[in-house]
Amino acid sequence: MTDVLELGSDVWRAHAPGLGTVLIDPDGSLAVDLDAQAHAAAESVLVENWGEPLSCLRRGRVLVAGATLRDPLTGDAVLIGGSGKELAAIVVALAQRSWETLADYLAPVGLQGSIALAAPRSAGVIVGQKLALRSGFAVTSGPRDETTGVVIDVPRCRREIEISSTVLLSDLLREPWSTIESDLPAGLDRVRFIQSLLPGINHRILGERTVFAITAALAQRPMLRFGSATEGLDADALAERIVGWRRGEAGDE
Amino acid sequence: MPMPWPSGSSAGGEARLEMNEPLHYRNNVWLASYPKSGNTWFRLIWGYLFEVDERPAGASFISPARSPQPAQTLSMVDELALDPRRFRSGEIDSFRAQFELRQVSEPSLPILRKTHESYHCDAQGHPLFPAEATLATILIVRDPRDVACSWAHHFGQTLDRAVVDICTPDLTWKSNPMSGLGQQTVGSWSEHFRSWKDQSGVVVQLIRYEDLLAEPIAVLSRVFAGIGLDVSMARIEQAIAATQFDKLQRREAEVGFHEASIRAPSGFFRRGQAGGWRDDLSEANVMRIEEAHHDAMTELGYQPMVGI
Repeated sequence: MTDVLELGSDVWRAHAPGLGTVLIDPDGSLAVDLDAQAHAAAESVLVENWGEPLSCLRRGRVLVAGATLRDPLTGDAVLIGGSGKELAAIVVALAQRSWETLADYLAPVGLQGSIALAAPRSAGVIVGQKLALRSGFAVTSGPRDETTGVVIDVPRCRREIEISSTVLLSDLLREPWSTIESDLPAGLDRVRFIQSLLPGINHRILGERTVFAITAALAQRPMLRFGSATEGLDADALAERIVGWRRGEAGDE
Repeated sequence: MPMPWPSGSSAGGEARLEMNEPLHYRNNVWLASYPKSGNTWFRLIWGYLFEVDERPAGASFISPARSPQPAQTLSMVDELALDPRRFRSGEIDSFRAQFELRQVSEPSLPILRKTHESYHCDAQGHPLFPAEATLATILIVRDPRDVACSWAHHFGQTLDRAVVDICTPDLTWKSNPMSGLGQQTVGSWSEHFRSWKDQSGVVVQLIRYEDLLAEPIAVLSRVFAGIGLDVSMARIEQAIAATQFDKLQRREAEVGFHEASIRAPSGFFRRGQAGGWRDDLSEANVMRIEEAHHDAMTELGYQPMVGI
């Protein structure tokens, strides 16, 4: 069998059985070689859901499990670390408050000096069908079978901007936090939480020093975490808390 | 806290070369079971024996072994940077078949991999539990009449509905792209058993839940020896004592259990007994189960009670 991901030569090859192969050049540019039996949407699925994250890695960005959104008040980005329904719901709730999404699910983050930069992705925001219906945003790509999410048309930011703070959702960590929410002081806890958001492929492709430099840059910025005690809150309430926290941060500066 | 990177660690170039080395370490221990058949208890015992020292002080011992499910597509994010949410279930299966063959792991550490799926292959015939990646396979089976009762409680269903479910051919749990769990082909109770028993790809160690309850030390000693794990009798006794059902119930009442279903407000650890179905199931439901699964039940020593 062909290895699904071959990184040993100049051109990386990501092979999806039955769909095709994405080729990633050293400069991060993408080409697709579709299998003969590939369905009509195969190219966009391959490029957006695999080629693009690999291209970001190839260009020196780490991938973070989470989303990056532009705060319309301050103009800079917030990294929201997490996954699953909670993340999708908060992205939608913030989008309803005019926040612009740079990236969802796997957010690329680069480094300029000591500043962490959120890079935009072209891939759409994918949510479950019920959430899509509730959100009021147009569905731009429907489910291709009964199991997949839909892409919704939320406001987007298409340029690289600075990440000024991080919000951490607890579900990745499975820790029985007793606090509802807390600002984390700078220190190893912040580093540890950022590390918990980094898929392992970052380390193997970029090397530990690069990954840690970006981790450290992110950990220097204010971080708010929501613990398990907040699970009863709905996404709107969490989004309001994030907005309020950001207003406080902006007021402090 | 250890430093996040080893001193003198290699740069990215060297690490990239490692990606394409053959990586068939055969360290997966598939823990296959139909749902509600005792795999949580087994994972608690495994966790006590092999992971308890890694846990933070004061952590609840209601913490089953890390046992990543093969259907959990988040591992594809971690290893491949692949976002599985817009791929079809069949496409994900094809990924899984190949992905399992390229896992990067320490060769000396067996990894417990919980699954409720039946044994099956992708559309091209590649097994999703490939022998090349398999150290051992454990199949836990439980009397389907007890499974039905526990199933109804766990999923918040009526007993009638639970009985229908475990008798449904090709029962499939749809994927949840937002949680990362891909589609799972579970099958009916006897289809699940047959799929693992009749395949020839991996060697299966069969455990009856009822035997595990009755003679845990003997059963576990046999299983661990079969995997090649050196575990003393005393350690197994400690693990069994630490995971006694009443202790688990009390602990769940105190601190909760993160695998509990929101549809089972009275808790995850319900009864844990063998034969409880006699108090709960109607004769019609017993008959339905026994008709649907007669041959497999007989083969496993679960004697039908209603004349067929």
